[in-house]
Amino acid sequence: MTDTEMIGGPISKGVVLANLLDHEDTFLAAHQHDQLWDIFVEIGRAWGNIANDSASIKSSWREFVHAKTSEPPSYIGEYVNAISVVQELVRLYGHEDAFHKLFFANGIPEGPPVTRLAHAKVYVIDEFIRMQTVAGGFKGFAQPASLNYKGYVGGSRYNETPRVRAYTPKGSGQ
Amino acid sequence: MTEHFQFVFIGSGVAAITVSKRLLEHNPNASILMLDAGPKVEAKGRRYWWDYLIFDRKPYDFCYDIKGENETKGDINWGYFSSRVMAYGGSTVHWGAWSVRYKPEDFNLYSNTEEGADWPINYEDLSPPDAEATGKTDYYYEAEQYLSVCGDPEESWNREMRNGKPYPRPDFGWTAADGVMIEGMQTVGIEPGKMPIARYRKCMTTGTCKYCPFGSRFNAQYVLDDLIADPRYQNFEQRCHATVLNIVTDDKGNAAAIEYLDTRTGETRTITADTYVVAAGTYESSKLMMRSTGPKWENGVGNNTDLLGRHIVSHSFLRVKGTTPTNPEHWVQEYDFPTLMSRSYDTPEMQKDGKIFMFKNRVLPNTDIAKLMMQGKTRDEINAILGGPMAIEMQAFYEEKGRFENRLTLKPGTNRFGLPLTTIEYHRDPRFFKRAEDRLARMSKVFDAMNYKIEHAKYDDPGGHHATSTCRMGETEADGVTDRDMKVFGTDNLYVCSNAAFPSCTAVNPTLTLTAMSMRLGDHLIRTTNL
Repeated sequence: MTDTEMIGGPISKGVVLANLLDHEDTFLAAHQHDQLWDIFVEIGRAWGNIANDSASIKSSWREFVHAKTSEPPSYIGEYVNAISVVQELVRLYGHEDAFHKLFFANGIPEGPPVTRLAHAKVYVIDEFIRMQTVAGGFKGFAQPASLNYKGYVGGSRYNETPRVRAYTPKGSGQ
Repeated sequence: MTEHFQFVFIGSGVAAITVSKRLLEHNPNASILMLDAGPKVEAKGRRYWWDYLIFDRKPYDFCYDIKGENETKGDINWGYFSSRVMAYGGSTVHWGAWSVRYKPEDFNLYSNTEEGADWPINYEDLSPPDAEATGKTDYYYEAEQYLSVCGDPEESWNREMRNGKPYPRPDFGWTAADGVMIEGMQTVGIEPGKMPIARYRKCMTTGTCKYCPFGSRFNAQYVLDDLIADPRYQNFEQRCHATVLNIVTDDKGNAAAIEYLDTRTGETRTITADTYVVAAGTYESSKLMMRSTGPKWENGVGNNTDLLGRHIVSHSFLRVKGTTPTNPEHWVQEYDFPTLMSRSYDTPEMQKDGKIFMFKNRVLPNTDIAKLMMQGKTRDEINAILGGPMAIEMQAFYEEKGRFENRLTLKPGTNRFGLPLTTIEYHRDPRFFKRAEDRLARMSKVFDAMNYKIEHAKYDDPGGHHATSTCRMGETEADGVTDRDMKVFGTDNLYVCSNAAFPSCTAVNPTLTLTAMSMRLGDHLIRTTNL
C-alpha cells in the first residue's frame, strides 16, 4: 500500500488522532444507515464473494452496526467520518474508481491511523470486511468452500444442513 | 461484624459451584457463602462478541495474569499467561471444554512407574462398574451429564472404561480437513477418536468457543447465575471482589474463620463457618494455605510435612507440524475446537516414560480470508492462497510426573485483585528430553504416512493451564496435604476442592475429573455435616 501515494483530498488527508473519533450524536439517522450500507455493499461487489448485493446478510450487518453504536465505545464518530471520506473519494474519482482505490490502492501508510482516510479504512472498511466474511462472505471464494468459519452462525433451525464439510472415509461410497 | 454460614467456599469456579449445587439440591436451606477475588464478566454480550470476532479481544482478558508479574526459577520458563481466569465462574469462562476421563492406571502412577504419586482413590471410586446394581454413584457419568459432554462411546478406550454407558450427547464428527491425519494415524496403528467436548446448551457452530454468544459451551457462570436466581436458595450468597487473606485456625488446628478484603471498599471482613472449602485453583489454594499460619501450623495450614506447594506439575506441549504444497480442496479447520484426537499412546504401556494425549491443532489448516481482503488482495490472489500450501499440526499433552523439588511459593507483592504473586521453581526431569523425543518421533510417523514435509517437531515449556498437585491427596500426612476426601490432614473442617488436590496430572485435561471429584465431595459433606 505504501508504494502508492495516499488517495483523497483535504477531507481524507485531514490529520486526526489515532483513537476513536468522538461525535456529539448518540445515534445514526436513517440516511446515514443507508450511506453506510452502500459502502458495505461495495465490499461484496469488489471481491465478488456474496450474491444479491449482500441482501442476505443485511440483518446481521444492522445488528453489528447497532452493537457498535449503542454500546460504548461508540463508533458514531467513525461512521460519520467514513461517510464524509467516501463522499469525497467519489467526487474525486467517480464511484467505481473511488472504491477500487479505497480497497486495493489507497496508499495509507503503515502505522496508527492518523488521517481521516486511514480512520475510514481501519475502523470501518476493515471491520465491515471482517463482519461480511464472518456472516457468509467466506463461502464466496475458491470452490469447494468450507461450510463454517469462525463466527459464522449456522443456525439451529437448519440442523438437517451439514454444519461443516464432514470426513468421509475412503471407499465408503458416500 | 462477623457473619456465620454453614459453608464458605473460597473461589467460584466449577469446583465450588458444583459442590454448592449438590448441597443446595440436598437441602435448599443450606447457608453458603462463595467468595471470589475477581469480578463478574459479561458472558454473552453482543458487542463483546463482535469485538471478539473483529479484534480477538475477550471481555475477560483483563482477568489473566499479567506477563512478567509472576516468576519462574529453575530450568524452564513456566507459562503463566492466559492459563487461568480470575473471575466469577473461574477458568471455565475461557476453557476449551475438552472433557476427557482419566484412565484407571492414572490413579496408580507410582505403583506402576515408581515416579509421581498414587491417588488414595481408584477409577472405580469415580465410576463403579457395579453402580446400577449397588446404588453407588457413577460420578464421571453424572459429571458428563452435567456438562453435556459430546463423545463417541465406541472408541476402544471408552468401551473399556464407560461400563457400557453412552455419552449424554452425540459426538461432533470429524471434519473433512481431519481426513488426511485420520488416515495417517491409521496407517501407523493409531486409533483416531473424537474429542469429547462439553456443550451446555444449543450449539450453533459459530466457531467462537472462547466467547460464545449463545452460552453453548459449558461455563460455570451460567450455573452460578441459576443458583443465585433460584428462589429456593435464599441462604446462598456469592460475593466478587472478595480476596481471602487468611484462614484463621484454632488451637486444635481447625479452621475457625476466614478474613477477606473487600477490594472495592478496602474493608476487611471476618466470616465463620462450620465447613470451609478452598476451591481457588492450584495456585491460589496453596498460596492461601501458606499464608495461613496458626498455633498448630507454623508453616501454613496443612504444611507440617512441607508438602504444600510441592510437586507442582502440568502438561508440556508437544507439536509436530507438516506442510503440503497444495490444498486443492481448500481444507480449513471449520470448528474452533479439535474434532480429532487419540488416546492410543495414553495407555499403561506408555505410562513409565510418559503418556501423551494427541489431538489435531484446532486452528490449522486455516486461511484468514478477511485479513487478506483488508490487505488489498484481489479475489484471484485470495483464491490462489486458498489453494496453495497447507499446514497441519498434531499436538499432544505430555504427562510429566510430580517431583518434590518442583514447587510453588509466594512471591512478595500482590496483583490487581489483591492476590499474592507466585514463584514457581521447576526443574525438568533429566529423562524428559529423551522421552519427549521418542513421543515426537511417534507423532512424526503420522506425517511421514501423510507424505507431508515436517516443518518442526518440538516441545514447549509447561504452563499453568492444567497445573496440579500443590495440595495433593495422600494416604497419610506424610505423603499428602489432603486425604482421600480432599480434607486437609490435621483438620476436621477444611477441604481443598481443586486440581491442587490431584496427585498427578495424567495426559488429559483435568476439568471433567475435577467436576466428578466435586460431586463426590458434595456427597461426602452431605453425609458428614448433618446438612
